[in-house]
Amino acid sequence: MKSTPGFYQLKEERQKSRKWFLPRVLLLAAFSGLAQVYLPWWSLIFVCAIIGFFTSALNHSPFFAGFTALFLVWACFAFYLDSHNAHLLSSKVVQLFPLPTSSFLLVCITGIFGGIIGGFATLVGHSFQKLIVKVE
Amino acid sequence: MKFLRFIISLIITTSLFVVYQYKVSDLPPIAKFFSPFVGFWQNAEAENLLPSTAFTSPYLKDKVEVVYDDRLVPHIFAQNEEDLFFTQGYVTAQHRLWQMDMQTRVAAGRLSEIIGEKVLNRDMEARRIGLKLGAERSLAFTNLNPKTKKILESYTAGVNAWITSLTPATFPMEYKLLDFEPELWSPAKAMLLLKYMANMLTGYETDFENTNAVKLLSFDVFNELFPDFPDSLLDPIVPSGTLFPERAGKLDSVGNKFLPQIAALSYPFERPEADYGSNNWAVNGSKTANGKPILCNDPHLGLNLPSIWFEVQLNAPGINVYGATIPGSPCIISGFNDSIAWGITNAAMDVKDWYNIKFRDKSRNEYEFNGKWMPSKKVVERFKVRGKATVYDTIVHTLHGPVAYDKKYNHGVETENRALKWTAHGPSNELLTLYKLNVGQNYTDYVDAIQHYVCPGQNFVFAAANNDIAIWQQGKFVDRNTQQGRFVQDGTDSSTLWKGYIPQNQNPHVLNPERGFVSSANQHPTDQSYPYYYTGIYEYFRNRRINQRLTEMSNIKAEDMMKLQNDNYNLYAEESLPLLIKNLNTQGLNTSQKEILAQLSGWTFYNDAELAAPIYYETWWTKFRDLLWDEFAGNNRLLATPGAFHTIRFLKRFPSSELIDNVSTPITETLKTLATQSFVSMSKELQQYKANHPKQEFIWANFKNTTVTHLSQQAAFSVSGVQNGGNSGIVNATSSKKGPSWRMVVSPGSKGDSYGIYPGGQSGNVGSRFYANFIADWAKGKYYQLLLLQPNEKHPRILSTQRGTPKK
Repeated sequence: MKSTPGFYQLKEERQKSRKWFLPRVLLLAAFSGLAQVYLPWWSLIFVCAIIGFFTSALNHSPFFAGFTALFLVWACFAFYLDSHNAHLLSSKVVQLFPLPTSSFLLVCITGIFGGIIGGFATLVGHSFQKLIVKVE
Repeated sequence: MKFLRFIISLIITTSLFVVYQYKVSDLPPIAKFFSPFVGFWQNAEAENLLPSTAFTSPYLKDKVEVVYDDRLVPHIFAQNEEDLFFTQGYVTAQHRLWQMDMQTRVAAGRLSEIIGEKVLNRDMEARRIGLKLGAERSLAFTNLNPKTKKILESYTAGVNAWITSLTPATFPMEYKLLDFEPELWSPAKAMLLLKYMANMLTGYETDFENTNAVKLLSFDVFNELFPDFPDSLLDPIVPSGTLFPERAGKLDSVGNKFLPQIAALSYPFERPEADYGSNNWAVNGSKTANGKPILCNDPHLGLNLPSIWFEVQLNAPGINVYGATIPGSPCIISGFNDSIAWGITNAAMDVKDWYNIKFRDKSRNEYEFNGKWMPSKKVVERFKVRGKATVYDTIVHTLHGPVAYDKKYNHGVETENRALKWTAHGPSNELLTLYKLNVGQNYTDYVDAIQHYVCPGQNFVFAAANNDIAIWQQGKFVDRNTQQGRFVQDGTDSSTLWKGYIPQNQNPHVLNPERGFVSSANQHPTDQSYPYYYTGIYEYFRNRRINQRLTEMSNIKAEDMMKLQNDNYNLYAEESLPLLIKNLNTQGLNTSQKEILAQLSGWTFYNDAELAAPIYYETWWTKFRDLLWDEFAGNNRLLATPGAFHTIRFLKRFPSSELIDNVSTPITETLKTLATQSFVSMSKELQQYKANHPKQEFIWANFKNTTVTHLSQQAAFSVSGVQNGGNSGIVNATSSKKGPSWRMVVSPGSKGDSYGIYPGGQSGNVGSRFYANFIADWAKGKYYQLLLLQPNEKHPRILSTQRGTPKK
């Protein structure tokens, strides 16, 4: 592959973007988590979209940031409740679905469900910002 | 490109919102169910959580204290009865709200509002048979009594105090799974619940089947197979030979006013199944080790989670009582206080009759009665159906009752209309009986209490600390003409109407009989000398086994009674297996079949959990009866086959009856042919069963597979493979789906001698350690000591306290 100035510029951008990935995730997780404590669950959609909008210049993987944030929030909280419950409820609920009887699996699935909507909601805000703000 | 990316992500997010927020087909809304902030995870209560949160209510007049013991039984201490029943409502809802809600929706015919179209027929049936109608009448009647009105109102306020304290996150998990919300409680709902019980427990009637059977077999043969009074082995509740006072009027015969045609092709309504039943008995001090009476009760009902029963102690000035309650209804149903104990079994008297209605034309505006056209009344019932348009059903009411059965169930035949006459339709105040029993102190109080009880008829067994024991079959029972109510009756004239009820003081009863015990197990209440005609579907095995054991037993301790409640002796096997073996042609049996025969010959008739012989016997007996009563299969009409007792009796009396022949084969079958054929097909089927279950030990408990089923029918929340013996017709009446739903052994006057257990747990929360924690002990025949605490008593088994205070 040929080295061009554009390539280096891109690499630099990526490094910058990566550097901001974790702060963006934490921002998303903190605010969406807080919102869900006091507001209906779907408040997370607005929180993610708004944060996605305002952080779009810093980081280029909005879906993964949103996914990771909400995966962590839902999975960690579920894991916390599940371990205090000694898996009594989760070991039964998991049997409702055609899945192996594993509480940990149910925690992961919960995380994935949170992640999917968090990811897309962040993407909405991010792509809206890209749409309305002209970059030179 | 950027625009496309934005639009696509927006569309996906919106679609996700829809499936996360709304129920799509059978799936729960994803976020409402999975979100750890509001979904089922919120119901994953901490494993060591005990209720201790304080509550306040403007309804409370004084402080109340709810003390929980180590089995999560609430012991409620209040300063007055209003606070007491308020708190009973509050704590019951706290642990069992979803169950209360669902059961009243079933009775009200409102299940399709939640579940959708697939349960619409069930809802229509509930309305057609008049459960709502009966509940409305009984509510008006119950409100006439200031005491019961107040109790209902207090209880309702308590349930609602709990409901209004909830948020979507704290709703019971099932609400999230089925995606609906609890609605406020009302006294009408408590009445619906009592009618739900009445429907489950009354109407030991097979009018449609009997009418068809008479057409098929002739009246004489029918009477031989389904006799009102088999000549012997009745062992009734009131001991044979007891003298009854003479009846007031003459006993008439209903004559030949039976229906002339085939009654029906099917029976679309819910009915108690043959294996619903119950045992209760009491012995006085002459038979016990410590000279104090012992009272025992085990109602056999569907084995469900959350359990039909919820244990509680109620304490306030003037009342201190412990026992099993039905969530949604105030007071205690089966229990004890400091002075008395009582228990219930079902009275199997038929109180549900069907009348054939002749309408003038298709409009069904008028029907024939005593040669005139009478105007009918039409009521339009409305059914909200989830996800579908509202459905309406017009129910036609006649002087007999609602026309529940019509063309809807009979391929659109316009001429077949049947009205239902049922004591559950009448106004009644069963709650007054429960309250008076709860505060009762002696036999006089007990008799005063039970007289208010109308439906479902119950055998109230009673024991008092002063050694009085008694049993009354109580309910509002029809004073029938002979044969009245056995068949679908002609509804066109007054000769078939109910002419009245058996006077309450003539209901079958016995106080302090010489034999030192009283008992009931759904058998005939009396012998044939009782001056009133009655009909029903009766038990013939459990009652004889219980009475035989109680007669033999002396110096009885509580543990002996526990053993008797868990007794697996199979009396119908004792009386039928020798007959089968005698008629079995052993020539031509292969080695494994000979092995089965050897096991059966050596079997001592106990349906114990760990034996294989009960599997061979029960399967053989079922197959034999199928072959024997082939006349009843097919025929394109609704029929019931004779029960085990009547079958054995018939075979002993008519060993070469032509009914034994299989009508579909050219040869003439004899008892020998049927016994041998059914034996061979049993051995083949069980061989196949063993091949299909290679990892399962071939024992009765595994084969029977007793399952305690969650009300939603979800296997995930149910407990199957319960290791227990018995069967229906055995004292331990545990079949695959039904069984002793509350076992109680209590000794009035002997403090601390109170034991009980039920196959469930106090919590209705699937995620609680108290959800199904009694089942294993129940299966082993274990009991827990029941604590009748005093106010402020410190007991080592008390784990937590919940306090209620008045809010200004």
